[in-house]
Amino acid sequence: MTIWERVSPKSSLGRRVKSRVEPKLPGQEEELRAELREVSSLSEAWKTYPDVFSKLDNVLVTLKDPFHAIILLKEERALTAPEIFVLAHLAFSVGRVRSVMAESKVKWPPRTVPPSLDPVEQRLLPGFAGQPVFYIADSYSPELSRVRTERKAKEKLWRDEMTKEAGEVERLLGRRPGIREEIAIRKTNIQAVEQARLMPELGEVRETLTHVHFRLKATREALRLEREISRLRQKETHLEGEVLAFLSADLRAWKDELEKAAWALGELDYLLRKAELAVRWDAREPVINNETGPLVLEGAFHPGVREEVEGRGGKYQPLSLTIDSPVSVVTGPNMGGKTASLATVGLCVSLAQWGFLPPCSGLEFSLYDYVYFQPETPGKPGLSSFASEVVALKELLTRIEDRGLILLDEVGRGTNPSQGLALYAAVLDYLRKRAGDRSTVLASTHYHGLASHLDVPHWQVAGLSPGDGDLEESDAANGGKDIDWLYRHMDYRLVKVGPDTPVPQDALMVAKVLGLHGEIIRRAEEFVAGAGRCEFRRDEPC
Amino acid sequence: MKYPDLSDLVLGSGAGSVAIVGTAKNVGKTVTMNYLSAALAGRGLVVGLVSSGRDGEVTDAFTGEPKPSIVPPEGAWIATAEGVLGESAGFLEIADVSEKAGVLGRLVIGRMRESEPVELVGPQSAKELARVVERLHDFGAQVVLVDGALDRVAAASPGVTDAVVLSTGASAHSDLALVAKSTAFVVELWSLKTPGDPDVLALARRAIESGRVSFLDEIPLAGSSRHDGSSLAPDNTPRYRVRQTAFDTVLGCEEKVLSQAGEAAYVVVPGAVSEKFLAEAEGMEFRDSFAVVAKDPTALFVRSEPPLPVYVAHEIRLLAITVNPVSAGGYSCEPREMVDAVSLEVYRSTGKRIPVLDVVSGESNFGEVYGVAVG
Repeated sequence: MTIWERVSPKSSLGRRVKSRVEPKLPGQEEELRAELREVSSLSEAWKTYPDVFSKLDNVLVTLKDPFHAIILLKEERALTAPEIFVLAHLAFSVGRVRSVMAESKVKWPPRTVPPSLDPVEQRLLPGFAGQPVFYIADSYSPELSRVRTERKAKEKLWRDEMTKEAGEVERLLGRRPGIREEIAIRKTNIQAVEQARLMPELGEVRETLTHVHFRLKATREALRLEREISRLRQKETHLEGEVLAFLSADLRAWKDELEKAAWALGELDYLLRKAELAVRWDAREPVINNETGPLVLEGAFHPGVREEVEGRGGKYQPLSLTIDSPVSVVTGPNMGGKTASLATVGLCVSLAQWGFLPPCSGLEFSLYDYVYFQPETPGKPGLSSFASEVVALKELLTRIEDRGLILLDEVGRGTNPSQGLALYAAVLDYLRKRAGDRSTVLASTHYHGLASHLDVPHWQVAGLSPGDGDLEESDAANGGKDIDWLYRHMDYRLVKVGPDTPVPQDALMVAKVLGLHGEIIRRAEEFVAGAGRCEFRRDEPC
Repeated sequence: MKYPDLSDLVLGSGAGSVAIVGTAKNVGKTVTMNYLSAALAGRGLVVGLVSSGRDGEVTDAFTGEPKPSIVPPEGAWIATAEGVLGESAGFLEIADVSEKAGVLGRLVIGRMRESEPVELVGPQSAKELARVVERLHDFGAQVVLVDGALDRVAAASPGVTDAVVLSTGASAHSDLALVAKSTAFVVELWSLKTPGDPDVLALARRAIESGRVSFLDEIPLAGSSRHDGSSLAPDNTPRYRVRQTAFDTVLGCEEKVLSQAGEAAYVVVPGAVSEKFLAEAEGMEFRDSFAVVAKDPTALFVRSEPPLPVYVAHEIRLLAITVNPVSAGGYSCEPREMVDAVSLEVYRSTGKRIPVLDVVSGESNFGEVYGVAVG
């Protein structure tokens, strides 16, 4: 699940708010600071008064979407009973939220406090206690009440009439039939059929191969009552419609408050989700600078990666780094540490600009127009991974004029090493020249020499801890460790190294640790050592 | 001696939810539901009613004949689509409206203020049905009746209801013997049992929950490893390990799935089990005791007896069979005849004495007359 998917509002109202949010861009520093302050103060409150927040969540999770009903009000159309119920439920929920908010010692942002809908609640839920229900009560219309009473009385009389008839038939059938029952008599029972046909209480309905079917025939009195009842029912439906119409008219006067209340609850829901995440991550409020400056990250983690690492029994080391140069290079072993670092940086900055407290103990930066992240997995089908990279780079360059956080992950790995390296260096040089005064580039690679060639800061993923004592020849002999062992011993921290510090030559060590046949490892070591420092080129024998 | 009626059987079972499943149209399912809900309400219980799919249409869409509607008793809780309620729904105290809308609008839950005919339209998926049943209980219903049919059999799944009543009748087939045989077949299918070995059952249930087709391989006794999903025993009974595949269904890939069976003792299928799958499995000549474990009997889509052993992770509890001896157009027979024929055939096929009742005439057969040997 992506982080965005984890932000899961309890109500459809919250989901509406979530779908409308936009990140804050350069120029909106003050607004973002206010937003982040809100989240920070609410997350502190959550730690102090968790009960308040769970009470609110309990209400939020029951909310129904009232917008269809509100639109009908705006269009001055009548609501149906279920729609009125939805509004009654909204009013009830608002009452509960307001009372929880009032009783708490928390300072609530005004846009999350719904306006009172008490009069609506009283109008739609008269004499109510407990769970809200709505129906067209007699109390809404005395005439309706009268018609209903009369209709029920006549129905009872009708039932009595028909029951009398049913009693007559009992002697024939040996049992009392239901009033509306279709009675089937076997044709072979000639006597019974004859009798039934002669009974004034029974009317023949149809004949099948084997049976003749009868129904209780209504007496004249019963027929008269049926007509009355039908007329009364029509009147009743009409009067109920009138009640719905005048209730809708009453509610129309409240349409703005209802809408405000709905949005307030949605905002509350969304804000609570942000606060909840901040509590879970023990996140801190980042510092947003107005002027372009260094990007300082402390104690940062990627929640997804951390979960995975800890799930495998490893210990996750958080990331800290300070980027004060337009271009910086990240190198490290082939175990995904580089990608994870880039992703963590991108995630923290993005989350902050989307109004969340990012998963780190400290972040200081100035806002970007965009964050670009091209991870290892190639995108488009039909293109080689290198070709996809080139296409993606072209797209990136269309935004060169804006201020971007550009995270490049091993560009050029899918092609001839010397040309790949050259291309990568050229791309970085270009970005530095054209966008160096505004954008920040973090470029990971497994090629040696990129940092020194460009003379830029060089960060390295700490990698497999060498002095662990577990990496022994005997391990290879015993079939080696498993891949989880490697992940567990991976240190994801970034350390600043010199521009010339070599890229970790860890592939053979990894193979050795995992127990690949010793003969192969030895041969590979020979190839590497042959003719001094030889990079194993395809076009030149060593 | 007074024989129990259908409401006695339901109350005696302690079931909080009962599915009423019809084998065909016009078999008296609605009459059964009305009878049962009235009887339970008459005994002071609060009843809940929901349908899987659509039922209680006022006239038969095909024949144009007036069909009995569902008439919930006063005070009953119902769930149905707002589209069939009419604007005012004057007879209903609305207590809940769902967020998701189906073709006929959102699902409304409410309490009947008076007894009125109503059309019940509900969710088709087992998961959603189960949720609605739970909601009805939350609102105070003590026994929830779920209307279902063989072509929307989710209602009968043990994940949705605690027990089932099967409704059949002359409308199902043109001839009494056929009605009895086809009913007995359903009962036979629904009588599938859980595997005898409790460890196999536990592993199968877990495998089903994982949502993946899985195989249970027997672990060689010497040096049984403590791996995830294995069971250990100090005695000599076979022990098993779960081997999950990447498949979440067997439909359309029966052969591919079975090609991974290897030496497995069981294949556990989380979803529908088709006839094709069973036929392929039989054709593959696995070890003699190779068996299929399905989620529950409603997951089996077969028209005849399975060709190899089939178990279920959850059994169905069949409380009774109701019969309607009157068909819509053609053949009909005496209530006594049908009740006896069905009861006997069910006993012959399954050895079970399932109560068979005609709620209209009151005739019933509890199978007490069947001796040990049946000629």
